[in-house]
Amino acid sequence: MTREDAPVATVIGVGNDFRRDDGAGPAVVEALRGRVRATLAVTDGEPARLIGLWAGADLAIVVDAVRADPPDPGRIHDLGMRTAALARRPVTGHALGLGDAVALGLAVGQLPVRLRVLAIEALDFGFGRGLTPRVAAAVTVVADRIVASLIRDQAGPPPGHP
Amino acid sequence: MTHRNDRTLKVGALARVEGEGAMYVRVRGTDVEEVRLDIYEPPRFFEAFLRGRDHTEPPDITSRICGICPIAYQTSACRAIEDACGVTVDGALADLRRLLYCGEWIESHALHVYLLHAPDFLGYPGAVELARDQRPVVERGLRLKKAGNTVMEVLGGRAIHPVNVRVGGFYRTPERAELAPLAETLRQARDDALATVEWAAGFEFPDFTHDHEYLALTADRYPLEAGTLRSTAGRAFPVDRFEEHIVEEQVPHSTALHAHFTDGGAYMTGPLARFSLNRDRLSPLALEAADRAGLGAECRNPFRSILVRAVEIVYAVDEALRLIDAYRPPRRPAVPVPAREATGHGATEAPRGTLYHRYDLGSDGLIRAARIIPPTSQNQAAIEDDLRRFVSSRLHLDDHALTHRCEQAIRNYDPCISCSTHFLDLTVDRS
Repeated sequence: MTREDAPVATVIGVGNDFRRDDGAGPAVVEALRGRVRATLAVTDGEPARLIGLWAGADLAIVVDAVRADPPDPGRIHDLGMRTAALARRPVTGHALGLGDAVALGLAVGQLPVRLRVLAIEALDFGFGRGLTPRVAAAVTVVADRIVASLIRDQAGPPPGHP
Repeated sequence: MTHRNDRTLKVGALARVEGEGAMYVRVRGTDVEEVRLDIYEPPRFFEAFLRGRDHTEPPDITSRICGICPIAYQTSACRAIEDACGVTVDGALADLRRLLYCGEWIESHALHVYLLHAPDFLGYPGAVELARDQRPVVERGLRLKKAGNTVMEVLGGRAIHPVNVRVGGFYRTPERAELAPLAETLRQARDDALATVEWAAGFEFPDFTHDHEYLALTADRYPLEAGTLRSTAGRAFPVDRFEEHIVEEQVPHSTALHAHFTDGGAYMTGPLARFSLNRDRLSPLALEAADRAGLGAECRNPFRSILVRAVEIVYAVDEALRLIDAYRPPRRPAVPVPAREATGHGATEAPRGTLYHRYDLGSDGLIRAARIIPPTSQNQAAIEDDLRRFVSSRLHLDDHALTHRCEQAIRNYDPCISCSTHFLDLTVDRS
């Protein structure tokens, strides 16, 4: 059961659903609609926008597609803030990336209290819509994992615990 | 043996620019033999897949060309389609378009000034390092950018690829009361914008000027969403004559076309051109800020473009407040735009310069042909010319310093490679 005073989380899907697997983050947000008590948002990864979305939140979960070498499409990385800060190289052709957003948020004191980054290894960042099969399957797994963790988080500690 | 002054400078992937491109400079002795701004981001063929689409679709489709300046694409598209259909959008609807466009200028300029360009002048490798040392400064930049985003969210439905713009106007127009919180945000932003000009005016600017012919829209007010074209060499022509005066051509090293006047003359568009041709149309507050920052009648030093952008933020905030104050909701959110067989032209001033669209419509309302000429592709030849002259006078620098200065010179233009492809890495060859 969700506590009335439980803090509302923010889930942010980063990506472009017209660039194949880069749409994994937005797809997870779509899969969460109606299933969680959380602010849902989709953005392009530009740092000032990301900071604007997560600033002041108790918990922000960012879902993004990543490129890995060697690739293992659909593999899920559950990253904390420190790991994300190391990810300075932007995946897409943007001026600044998620790693910059975390580092910038940290420098100006505009990070959520808790930040979790769920990264899905992607296969195809080409033009067009639709996820590759293993990335699509990972989207379902990540969405389910977020639902479960938000229910636990918002239920609060078991009775008898502070 | 390789002579010290025969060298190649290469940057494989330019940093702090929008999109993917590279720079290559080859120097032999004291001659800069070749300068290339390589644009290798693949073309996206928007003009091709607009063919056969309904005349109402270009605002939503072309907004996808850019996440930073979608309003520029939507507005140029709307104006071109409305021109083809013989419809004029005026009054409160035109004012709302201008207000929305102000939001895009604020957020795009704030991003470039604070996060992409300022670190060059202050000796930081990037915005993160700047923020660690000068937190209040970057906080101010983020507040400004957020103010711009808020304008876009309130009027456009969302900040990225807004969904409330349509041919003929909007899907929904706001009540006056909905704009009151926005005005409050913008009053704070006005102070931040003025502080930005004062801050940037204290930077040290390299001694470098160019004499490119400047081209920009001009209008009764400082140009954003409408106007006619004028240049510093005295050219003047309406938007529907754009392609009679300007041609594009393919160059081997770029997926962006290079543009020049049909008589062969090169030109530049963007904030420097806009400011130099329209300084007297700034609001009194923005004009005063420009005066205090030492910006005269013309600005010919591309490094000072950061100052011009800061002044344009002041203008955009000031203008947005004026528009909100004068706003009376229109009777309907859009005017009808029935299709007809015709050709329409639209041009607006995107943050990076003049953005031109042309659509040929059939009697069935479907698009027969589309032409989109973004500012970065218009400026590519001017950027390369600036780089050639800039490098020539700085050959005494070592490769590392020269490469860094070249990247800085490119960022003066805030190139949007993603927009222009149909673009950045730096290579300096001193072989």
